[in-house]
Amino acid sequence: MLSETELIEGCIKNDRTSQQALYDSYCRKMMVVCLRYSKGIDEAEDILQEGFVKVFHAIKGFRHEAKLETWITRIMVNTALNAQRKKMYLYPMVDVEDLHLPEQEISLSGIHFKQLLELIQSLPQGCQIVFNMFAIEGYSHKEIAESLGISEGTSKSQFARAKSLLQQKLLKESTYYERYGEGRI
Amino acid sequence: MERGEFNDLMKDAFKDAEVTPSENVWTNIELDLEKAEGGDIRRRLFYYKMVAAASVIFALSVGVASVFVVNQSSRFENQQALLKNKQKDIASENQNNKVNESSLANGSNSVSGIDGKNTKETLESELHSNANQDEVVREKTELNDKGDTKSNSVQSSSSIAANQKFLTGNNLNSFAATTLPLENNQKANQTVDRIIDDSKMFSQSDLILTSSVSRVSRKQVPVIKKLEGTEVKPDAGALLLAKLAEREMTLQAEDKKKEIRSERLWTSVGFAAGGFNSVNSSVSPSTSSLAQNNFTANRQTKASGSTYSVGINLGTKIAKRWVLQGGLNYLTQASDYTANSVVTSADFQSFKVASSNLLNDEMSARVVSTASYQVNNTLQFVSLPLQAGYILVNKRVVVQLNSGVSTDLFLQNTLTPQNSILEKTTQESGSDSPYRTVNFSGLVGTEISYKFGEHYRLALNPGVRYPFNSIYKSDVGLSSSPLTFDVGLRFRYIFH
Repeated sequence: MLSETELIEGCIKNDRTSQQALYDSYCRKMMVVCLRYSKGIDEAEDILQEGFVKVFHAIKGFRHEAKLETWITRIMVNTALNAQRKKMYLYPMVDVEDLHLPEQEISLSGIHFKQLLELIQSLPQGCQIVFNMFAIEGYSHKEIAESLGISEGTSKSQFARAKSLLQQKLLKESTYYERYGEGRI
Repeated sequence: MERGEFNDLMKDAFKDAEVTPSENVWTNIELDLEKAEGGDIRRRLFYYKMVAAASVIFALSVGVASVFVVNQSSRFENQQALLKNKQKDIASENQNNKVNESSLANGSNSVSGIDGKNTKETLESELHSNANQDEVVREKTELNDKGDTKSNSVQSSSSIAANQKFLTGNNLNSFAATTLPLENNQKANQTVDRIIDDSKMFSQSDLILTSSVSRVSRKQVPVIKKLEGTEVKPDAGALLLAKLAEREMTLQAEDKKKEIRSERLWTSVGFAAGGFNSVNSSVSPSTSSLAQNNFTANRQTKASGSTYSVGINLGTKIAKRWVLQGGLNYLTQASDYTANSVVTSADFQSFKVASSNLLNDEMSARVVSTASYQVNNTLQFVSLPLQAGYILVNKRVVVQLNSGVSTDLFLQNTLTPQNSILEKTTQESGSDSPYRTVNFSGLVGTEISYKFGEHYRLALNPGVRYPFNSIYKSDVGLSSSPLTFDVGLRFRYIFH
């Protein structure tokens, strides 16, 4: 079993075995990232493929300043955003009204991540991206605004709407309670 | 709900989440990577092509320039030789004139009714007046457009011509008829005509020729003076010049012989490195019924890679600018390809790397599909090149264009899988090998060499090699004629 450093060195030398080993190590986690930013498996796999090709081309520049996983995740997110930008050009992100649902405590315990993935994928394009970037990747609204070329307010409103929609969807999923029992919104 | 809590919940939900992508993803990534690497190889090949093309263009440019310079210098040499011949003629005519003068002086007393001394004085005075008239006429008619320098030199020449002509005129002829042999007069006439022709030619020529004419003119002056004098002495200066000219021509001829004889036989050792491109390769659809077999065969056949060779060569000069050289080289061609299957032994106990010749229909039962893996295929040849070369520039730096054929004897190929499971496989030439045992390739290249010391040269040889036929046997359904670009470095020892 090769260490992470050996894997990186092998990938720098374009050694296919090392590249495949690196892919095998991270492809499943990265697939989840790609699924969060896409609407289906095919789209996610396209992003994953493009992302890993970028990883292998850019790995010479990996400076070990961050964890390898974090670095790869960042490349995947950027690749996903590039793919989504084309769509955003056609359907620009605008300020949206909040659904003004009552603020409720959200517990996600017991919710399988695949269930959550489906819900995220069902969000409108803009909401999905902002939700992922803000809630999971941890970007600030300012960073999101700069990254997507929108106003900070738009980012906030998109997130608020995404959050409301998720609450709503989770509430409507009656089967959810039947399956997982403990989940409450 | 605070932002932090919500973030944490979400992050926790996806913390250890994993979804396995389909196998196609890695295959597609691999294809993308190979495309990119293929692009690198193409860029490298493009670089080699550019180097080879630049060197050929450079050699051709130098060649054209040298041919132009050689033509110019040979033209100049011819003109110099012509001048020297004229000088010789003039010198010999001077001798004749001196003899005639001597005869004239000695024979005057024997002519009845003519006072030799008075006659000579009369002739001399007439000679001067006629010569001066001729000079004026020639200046006006032939040298109108010429500069001062040219005019002066040609004037001297025409003056000589006029004087000489006068010597062959009626007075002298009538006088010579009684005292001199007719033969000498005819020779003198011819000489004068030639000199007049020369004068015309020189007047139209360049400054160098003008100076040559000046030399001829100066040489002629003593002849006139001698005619005016009472004593006749041999023209030692003219004779010396003639001898020097003859000696110079002899030395030039020897130099040319030496040039042809120099570097007649040499040997060299060297190595070359480059790349080969198999983009023109093809796989017959009927090679195998299995898709993965065709996949592997396709990848193996179309793989491009690097090539190295080492060897010794022997060369000889067969003409002034033509050389013939041959040698014995060890040549390797290495390429990487992706295989997605292995071939098992009959007892299913051992596994071999999938290669084009193992992937026929008879072996299909033993082919096992696997994940993609890399294989390095190294072909080894003994190459016997024979090339003719044309020397474009033959100085300390020699620029030479080479062209010829190479007989390539296939030795073996080694398949080295890039994983630890499969073992290295070597296929020797023969009936089991998919490669032809004997191949013939065309060679074209440039050689730029530098001579240091009496016996050594260092040569740089960019060149192209192209097989006349496929390196695969015709019955395996594969075809590949890899185009090779390489740059060689050779150290040459010159025997003599």
